[in-house]
Amino acid sequence: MNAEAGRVARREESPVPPALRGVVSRLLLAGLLLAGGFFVLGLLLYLAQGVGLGDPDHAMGLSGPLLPSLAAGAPSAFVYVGLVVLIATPIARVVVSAGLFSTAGDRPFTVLTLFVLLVLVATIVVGVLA
Amino acid sequence: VGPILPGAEGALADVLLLLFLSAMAGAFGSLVGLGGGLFIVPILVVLFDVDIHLAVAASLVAVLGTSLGSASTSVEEGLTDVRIGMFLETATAVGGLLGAVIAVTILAQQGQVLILAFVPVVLVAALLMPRLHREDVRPDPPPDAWADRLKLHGSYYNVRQDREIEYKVTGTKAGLLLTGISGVGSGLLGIGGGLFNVPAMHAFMNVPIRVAATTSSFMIGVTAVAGAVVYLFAGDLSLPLVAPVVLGATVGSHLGVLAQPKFRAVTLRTIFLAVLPIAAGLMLLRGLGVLG
Repeated sequence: MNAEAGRVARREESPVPPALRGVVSRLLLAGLLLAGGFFVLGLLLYLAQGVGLGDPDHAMGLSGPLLPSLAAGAPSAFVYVGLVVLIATPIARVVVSAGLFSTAGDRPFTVLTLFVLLVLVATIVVGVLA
Repeated sequence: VGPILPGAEGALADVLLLLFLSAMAGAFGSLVGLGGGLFIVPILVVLFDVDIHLAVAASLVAVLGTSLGSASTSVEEGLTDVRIGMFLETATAVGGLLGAVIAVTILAQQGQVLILAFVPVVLVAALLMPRLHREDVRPDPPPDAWADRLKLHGSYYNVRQDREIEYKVTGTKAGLLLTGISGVGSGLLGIGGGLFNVPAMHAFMNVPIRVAATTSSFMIGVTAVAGAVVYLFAGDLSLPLVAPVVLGATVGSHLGVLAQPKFRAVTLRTIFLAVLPIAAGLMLLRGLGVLG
C-alpha cells in the first residue's frame, strides 16, 4: 500500500463534507476581521475621548439605542458590535456545519452539531430572559 | 462588580500597557500551545486591579478571538480534526456554560475563591506540560464503539516525517468527561481549556499531539462563547477592558504562531515553567489578601 492509497482510505473512513473546511475557515476569518475592525474603531474612539479602562460610564454596555450610538461615535457601541460579531461567529460555524453534515446525509454528526447549537442558543435565551 | 483602574488621567498609558501585555500573553500562549488565557487573568487581576469576574469575562473573549484566528488557518490546512472537535464540543459547550453560571451565581460574591481556584489549575498546567511533547500514537488501542460508530478515526500529514500518520481513536467517554471538566474550568476561570483538552485527546483518545492542539484551539471558540454569553448577560463584560485585551491577545497569538519556528521547544517550555509559578504565586498572594 502506498501513501496515496492510505489517504484515500482515510477519506472514506472519516468523511468531512468536502466544502466544510474551506467554508468554515473563511467564515471564522471573516468574523474575526469584521469584529476586529469594530474593536479597533472602538479602541481608537476610547483613546480619542480619554476613556479609561475602568470608566464606569462606559463599562457595562450601551448608554442608548445601538444605531444612534454608532452614528454618534460612542466607542462602547462599536466594541459592543464587535463583541456580538465575535460571539456570533462560532455559532454561525456550528449552523453551517450542521447544514453541511445534514446535506451529506451524516445523521449522527447532524445531531451532534444541532445539540451544540441548542446549548448555545439556550444560553442566549436564558440570558435574555434572566 | 469591583473597582477597576481609575479612568481619565492615565487612560492612554493604561490602555497601551494592557494592549502590550495582552499581546505578550497571546504570543507566549500560542508559542507554548496553550492560549493566552492562562496569563491574561493574572495580568488583569494583579497588575490592573480588575475584579476577577470582569477579568475572567474579558479573558474568555480574548480566548475566543485567538481561537478564531488559529482555527481559520488550521482547519483549512487539514490539521484540525473537525469530527473529533465537534464531537467533544458537545461536552465543552455544556461545561463552559456550567462554569460561567457557577461563577456568576454561587461565586458572584466570592471573588477570592475564584482567584484561589486559579492557583491549582496553573500548577496542574505546569505538571501536564512536560507530557505534551510525545508524538507517539498507539497503533492498536482498545476498540471504542462510539469512535467506530461516529467514524472518529483519522490521519494527518506529518510534514517533518513526510508521511501520513493514521490514528485510531479510543477512550471517547473519558475524552468527553475530561473535556467537559475542561469546559467548566474555562467558564469559571477564563482560560481556554487547551490545558486539559490536549492531554485528554492525546493521552486518552490516542490523537496525535499536533492534531490535538489544533483541534483544541478549534473547540475553544464554542466553549468560550458559551461562557462569554453568560458573563455578557450578567453585566460582567466591561467594554473598555475587552477591546484592548481581545485585540492584543489575538494579534499577539498570530505573531506567536509566525515566530514559533524561531524558538526551540525546550527553551519555550523552560520559560513557561518558570513563568507559571510566578503567575500562580501572585494569584495566591492576591487571593489571600496579602497583595493589593
